[in-house]
This record gives sequence, structure tokens and C-alpha cells, in this order.
Amino acid sequence: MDRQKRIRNFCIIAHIDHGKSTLADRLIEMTETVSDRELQEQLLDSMDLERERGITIKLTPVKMYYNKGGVEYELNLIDTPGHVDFTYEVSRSLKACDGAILVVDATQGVEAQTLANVYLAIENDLEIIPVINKIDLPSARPEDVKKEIEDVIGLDASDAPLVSAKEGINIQAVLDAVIDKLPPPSGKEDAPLKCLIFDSYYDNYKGAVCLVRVIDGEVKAGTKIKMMASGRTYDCVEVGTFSPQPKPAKSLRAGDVGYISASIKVIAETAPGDTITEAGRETERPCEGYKEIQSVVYSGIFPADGSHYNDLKDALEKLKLSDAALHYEPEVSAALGFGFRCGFLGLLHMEIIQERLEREYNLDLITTSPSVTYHVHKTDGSMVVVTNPCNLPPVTSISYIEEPMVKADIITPPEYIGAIMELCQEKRGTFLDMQYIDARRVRMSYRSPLAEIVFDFFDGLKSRSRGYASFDYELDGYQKSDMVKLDVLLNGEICDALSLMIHRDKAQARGRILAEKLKENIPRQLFEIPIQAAIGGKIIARETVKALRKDVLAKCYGGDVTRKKKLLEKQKEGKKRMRQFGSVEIPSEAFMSILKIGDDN
Amino acid sequence: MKPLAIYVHIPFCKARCYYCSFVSSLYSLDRVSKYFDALLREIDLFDFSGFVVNSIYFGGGTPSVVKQENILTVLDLIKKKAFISAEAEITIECNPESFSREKAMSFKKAGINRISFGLQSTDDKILKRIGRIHTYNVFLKACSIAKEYFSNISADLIIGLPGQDKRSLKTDLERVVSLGIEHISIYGLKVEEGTLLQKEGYKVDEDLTADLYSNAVDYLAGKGFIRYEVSNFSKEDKYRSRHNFTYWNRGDYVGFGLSAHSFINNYRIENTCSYIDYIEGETECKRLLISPLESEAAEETIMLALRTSDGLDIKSFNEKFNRDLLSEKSGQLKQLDKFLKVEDNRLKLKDDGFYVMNEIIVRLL
Repeated sequence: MDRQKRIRNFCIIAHIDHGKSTLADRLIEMTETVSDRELQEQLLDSMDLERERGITIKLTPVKMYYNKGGVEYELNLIDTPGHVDFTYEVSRSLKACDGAILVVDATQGVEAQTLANVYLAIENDLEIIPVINKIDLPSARPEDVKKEIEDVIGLDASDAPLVSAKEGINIQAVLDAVIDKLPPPSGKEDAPLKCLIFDSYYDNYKGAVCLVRVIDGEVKAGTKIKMMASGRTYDCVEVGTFSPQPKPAKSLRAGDVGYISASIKVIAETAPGDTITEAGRETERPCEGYKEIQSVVYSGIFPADGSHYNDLKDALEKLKLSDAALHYEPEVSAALGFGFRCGFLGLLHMEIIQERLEREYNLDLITTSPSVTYHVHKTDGSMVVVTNPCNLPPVTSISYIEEPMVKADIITPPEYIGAIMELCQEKRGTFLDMQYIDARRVRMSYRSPLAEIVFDFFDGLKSRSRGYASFDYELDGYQKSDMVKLDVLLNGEICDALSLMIHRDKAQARGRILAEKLKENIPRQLFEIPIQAAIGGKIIARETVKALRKDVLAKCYGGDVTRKKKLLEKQKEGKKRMRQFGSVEIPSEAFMSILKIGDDN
Repeated sequence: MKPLAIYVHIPFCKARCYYCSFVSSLYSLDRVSKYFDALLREIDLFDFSGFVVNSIYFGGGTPSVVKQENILTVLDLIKKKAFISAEAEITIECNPESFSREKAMSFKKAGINRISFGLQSTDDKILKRIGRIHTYNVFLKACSIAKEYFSNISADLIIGLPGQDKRSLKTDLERVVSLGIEHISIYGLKVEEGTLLQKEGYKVDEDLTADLYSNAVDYLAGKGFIRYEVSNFSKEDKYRSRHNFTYWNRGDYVGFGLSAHSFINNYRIENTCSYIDYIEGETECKRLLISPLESEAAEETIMLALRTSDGLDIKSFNEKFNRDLLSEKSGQLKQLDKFLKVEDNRLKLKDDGFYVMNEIIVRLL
């Protein structure tokens, strides 16, 4: 037991930009876990994308040693993602911890994700240490923020360390508090093995690697392990810890955080939330809370150049190895040809996948309008789940449609209440509650359709509150709703890749904008192209791309045929990036242009 | 003997027109003399044996801006080195501003038999707007002199210019036709990178230009001018520009001078665009472009032939490239029925197709 008393497993939770990653970096520096040479801003965010966007997507645990009172402690910091799309990942990493550092910005105070994360931590029985960050800023008001933490969250903040992660002020107090206030793990080393998988990643040499917290027992190379959800067994090849690079160890014992590799080929077999035990000597109770990851947003992904289908397929297969949350299946579109219907955790996740496909795999993509999951109840009493507007059953066979709902919490200075209420109403939200946190901030709760929240709500919120409002949401069941399928007809034919689900009240306006955008982005062609937006058979908007009148190279200057040829070749090359739909050629930009349409247009 | 066309580039002007992106620099005596030394050197190096010269074309720039002696020396050298057909068409591009009786006389004496005036517009306001240094009256004077000495005169007009409309173009056409000249070229303005028009953000109204073009075609047809190529109109077949036909039929041509292009024995050659390199250069001023592959040659053939009203000779195309164009492209041809026709075993653009030919040609490549 002595060993476990010198271990602390903890995470840092915070609202976005409150300084979570910077504080983590300081802790790592302070404990000299990384040499100066390896120092790189935001050490834990190893993906380029994470560093660029200033967000954490994948979880990275890091083991640090810290000497206090002559005792060397082992501190395992488990990083957590900072975006609502990844709530499930946050909750998994919290389960691996015994305590949490709650970072609150001394200038901003408690924000929506502060609350959401604290609630998650409390649900997981974590001890929480509040830390007030950014005290070096002139506008810092640490005493007010302490009071807020006590009033709004109900945590004792009287001893909260006042720090500046950026300037390295008072970091030691944080480390001391971790040791003094957070409980050590209390598993049984001699009990059957019980490990929680809180994340996994794919390594080209080791295969899928599980990030685990050992609850009870011991695991080492050679242990025959078993995934309790899937029942699959493997021979453990290597265990180790992170500093923050993976480093093999002899064994992992109760209370330890580290990794297990077992030549697992597919990451889907290392489902986060699952419990690893020893085959033949199984733990009686697996860890609680395992759920299969559900996609929240779906979108079609197609290669801009149809001949690159196999490249896209390979890229998705590889991404899937490292991202268990990505779902995809083949899709065939009349307009876009062969591609994939992909499911994502949210819009950010979707953007990240698209960006990774484009950057890491050098692909040009066309994506279709994102869709949520609808429950379509048919007149015969059956229900179908629709994630692609093209699969909507015939209208006559539909009794009603239900759409997914969320409960959204928004925290804002009071002067923006009016503008935000307006926004929430536009987003078909239902007002639930409003509370003053203090004179300067208000917490508002709305129930709103996921489809409205997921697409451009956050941008709207930022612009209407000048960036001061914060928000978080959680899924909140389904609700009956008057959804319709909006189709776009090009030259009289429905172009499947442009169809989308929308609430009837918004269909008219959206149809008009769609038609306008397409008109702007479809170049003039030899023949006139009527663009129509329609619900059912009813046309609600119409635009026309006039026929091309002039496309000629005037002068053959001094016999310079090559110049002319180059121009024609460019034109021919451009055609490859066009999608032939009937007699209409549609450039990828046209498909992409309609994705950017928000209600604010 | 193989027929050959010769192009000679004279890259000097008194002022740069606002739409021009061709290789040209401001006229100065020193530059001109160095340039002609290099030009003569280049011509002297060329092996004319086995060729019969059917056309010579002095283009620019403004060939009329240099002293006539310069032009004459070039012609003399070519005559000395090459076998020139008795019917050879010898053209010089002239700016009305730098044309004179003296030049007309010496050009004629030297065997030049075709004058191509860069008129562009007959509206003085428009001429000024695009940086031309002549007026309509100056052109009238130049044209009347030219008519005394030459029986094959061409004028270039541009459509899509700033300030131009249907009425002004009609005036242009009426005036030019009434002068009794034999050939008219009508070029659609393309705002090229780096030109003054591009810098000031001028955009061509494509619909208006298309209307102007079709008005011009109709008007000229009524006056007996036949469109034998998308931009070129002549009174009778004999006034068609033979020189340009060499380009369109992929005949052999050699270009001398700065930035000139050659196509000889299936090799494309491009001269340097750098004045310094050119006047100092020996052979490094020429850059061999890759010889077109057979498939590229076929594409070039289609691309160039469809510019002309004669169109593409399907039989000889199929024989030459071992193809069966009509059946290969039957789907496209059906779709493009409004724009293309097959007549006398030749593939030709219909009237509706001429001004959108790129889009059509691209589908046939």
C-alpha cells in the first residue's frame, strides 16, 4: 500500500482558453520530466492540428516525479480534450483519475464548460482543487473569481492557488496541493486484474495501444489479457508509462497509469471505456460507464476527382485505425459518384477528419451538408433511423419525424441576454431557465434541436456576444418536429448530393439562398441551367445560370500555339474537378459553397 | 520543297497600349540597332535549305516604328538566304501613326504586298482610353496612302473595349467597310495579367462582347466579308491571310526575334523573352520545347483547325493519327449538335459554336 500512497492520478479541467495546456506544460517543466531540448509549447498536444487550433483532441497521459518532504511522488497527469464534441472522451479520462485540478481564468471567471466539466468530475467522485490562473493579467480579479467558484459551483476556493501558468508563477503550490489534497489510488494489487481503457492510439509498429488506469491487480508482458466488452483475448506484449514519450516498464500495478500493447490490429478492438482483465482470472465487476461511441453528425465525403476513390478509402481505413470515433460506410451518389457516409462526434470532429484527410493524405474532397440522426416514424408503426436525407422514406409513408434535442447552457454578461435569446429563438430553442451568477454574468438554459446547435450556433453566439458568451450542451432525447427534405434540381433533375433536412419554417429561406449560392458557383456552360429548390414536388426557389456566350482565344500571337494549348489543357484539367450531373458540370466549389450557408446569411 | 512561313518580331513601340501583354519595349535608336544586329545574326544562322517561303510576316510591337532600312535589311537577308515563292504573301503590321508615304514606297519596292493596320477602334475617345497614339483621322490618312501602293490591306478591330457599345462598333464597321479594304480582323479583348487595364480592374462584359461579335459577323456577311476564321474576315478567298493559315494547319514556320515561336519538323521552339539575353545570345536564346507527342499533335490539329470555317478534314485526320474521330466522340457530338456539324467530310463549328469554341474543343480533346 505504501507504493500507492506515493501516486496521484489527476487531470486538469477548464473552459477553453483558460490555460489548461499551459499549466500542464509548466507542471511537466517543473518536475523536469522533459529535457529543455524537447520543450515545445503545449507538449501534450502532439498533433499539428491540435497545436494550431489550440485544442486537445487525443488524450495523452504523462508521468512526473515530484519530491515533497523527502518523499518522491509519482504524479500521473491525464490530459482531457477541451471541446464539447469530445465529452465522452473527457468522461473516460476522468474515470481514470482520483482527482482534478480545475483551472479558472482570473479575468473570465466561471464559464459554461467550467461548469460542464465540474459536473462530470463530481459525477465521477473526483476530488477537485480549484486553481486561479492568469493572475498576471491587469484585469485579473482573483478574489471575485474565488467567490464565484464558491457561489456557483459550491467548491471551497479559499486555498485555491493563485497562479500564472504563462509566467510560471506559483506552480509549486499546485503540485503541493495535488499531493496534499488529492487522494492516492486504493486498488488491491493482489486482486484479479482490472484496467480501465481510457483511450487508445495506433502505432505503426505496436498496433493499437491501450491507455489504461490499473484499478486492481498487475499486468506485464506475457499476461493473457481479455477485453470484457468484446470478450477478445490477447497476449500482452509490452507495458509502459509516458514521460511523455512511451517508455517500457516491467509491469503496471494497481494505481498505475500507462499503456498496454498486445499486437492488436484494429483500434476498434480497444474500445475506450472497456475493461481489461486477465483471461482465466477475471475481475468480478468491470468498470462502469462503458458505452459505444455514437455518431452525432453525418456527412458524405467524396473525392473531388472521382478517380481518387481508392485513395480516400485507404485514408479512411488508416484514420479509423487511430480514431475509433470515426464511422464510415460506402455511399453512392448520382452526382458525386462513389464516396463514404461518415459519422462524427460533432462538427469539430468532422472538420478535423476532413482536414486530416486533406493534409495528411493529400486529398481533395467534396463534402455534403452535415446531418444529424432523425427518427422517422412510419404510418405502419415502424421507425427508421435516417442519417442521410436521400434515405428518407416517401413522404406518404411517414407518420412523423423526431429530431435529436440538446440542453444548452450559456453563460454571458447580462448585456447580451437579448441578443442571445433572439439567437436561441431563431435556433428553435425553448427557454428553460435563467440565473444570475453574479451581477456580471448570467446563466441561461435552453432546450434546442441538435441540428441547430451543431451547425453554426457557436459562431452566432460568439458574434452576438462579442465573444463573451460561453456555452456547452448535452444530448437530451428526441422530439417530434416538422422536418422536410429540401431538394435541389439542376436542369430539372434532383441532385442527391445537395439534398438536406430542414425545419419547414426555414425551408423557404434556405432554398432561396441555396439556389443563389449555386448560381454564383456554377460557371456558365454551353446550355442554360435552371436551378430549383423544392420541397416534395413544390418548387420554392429558382435561379438560372445563363448559357455561356464567350469562351474563345482571340489571337494566335506570332504562332504561339503552346500558350493556347496550355489554356485549353487547364480548362480540360478543370473539367476533371467538375462533377458531371446529367448535362450539367458542377465544380466542387459549388458543393462546398452551400455548406457555409448559415441562418445569418 | 517544303513550304515555310517566316515570322519576324519587332518588339518596339512608341507607347504601350493599355491592353497589350506582348513582348515589346519603348523605341530607342540604340536598342533598335543592337536588336537588328542580333536579329540578322539569328536569321543568318538558320538553314533554309529544302524550304520554299510562302509568307513572311513582320509583327510586333510596332514594325512600322523602326526605320524602313531596318526592315529592308532583314528582307534582303532572307531573300539572299531563302527561296521565296513568287506568290509569297509578305505582310507588315503598321500603326497608322508611324506609317508614311516614304515607308509605303520602300515597303512596296522591297516586295511587301500586304499591310495590316492596328486600328482597334474608330472612336477617338476609346482610342485614347486604351492608350493608342493615333486618331481615326490619322488612320484615314494612312489608309489612303496605303491604298495607293497596296491592294491587300487589313485592319484590326478590338471588341470588348472600355466605352464601346453596339452603336460604336457599328460605326467602326461601317467606316472600315466603306474604305474598301480587303480584310478585317476582330479580336475579343482579353484582359491579360500585368496590363494597365488589368491593374485598373477593367472587366470585359462577356455578354456584350458576344453580342458585338455576332453583330459584326452579321454585318460583315451582309457586306460580302466571309468569316474564314473565328477572328478573321476577308472579301474574297484570295485575301485570306496565308501566313495565319500556316499556324492553323500546323505547317512549318520559323519565328525570328524576341519571344518568337517556331514549329519546324514537328519541333516547337521558343525564343527568349529577355531583350538582354537575345541581343547577347547566340544559341542559348532559343529554347526547344518538347516535340508534341502524337496524341498532342492530334489535339493541336483539332484545336487549330476548328478555328477556321473550313474546319477539320476528318479523313486526313483519321489517316494521319490512326483514329476514328466521329465514332470516338459520337456522344459528345450528339450533345454538341447545336454547335458542331459535319459537312463535306469536315468537322465544322456552326455559327453558335464559334464564340464558345474553347468549351467545345475541350470536349473533343
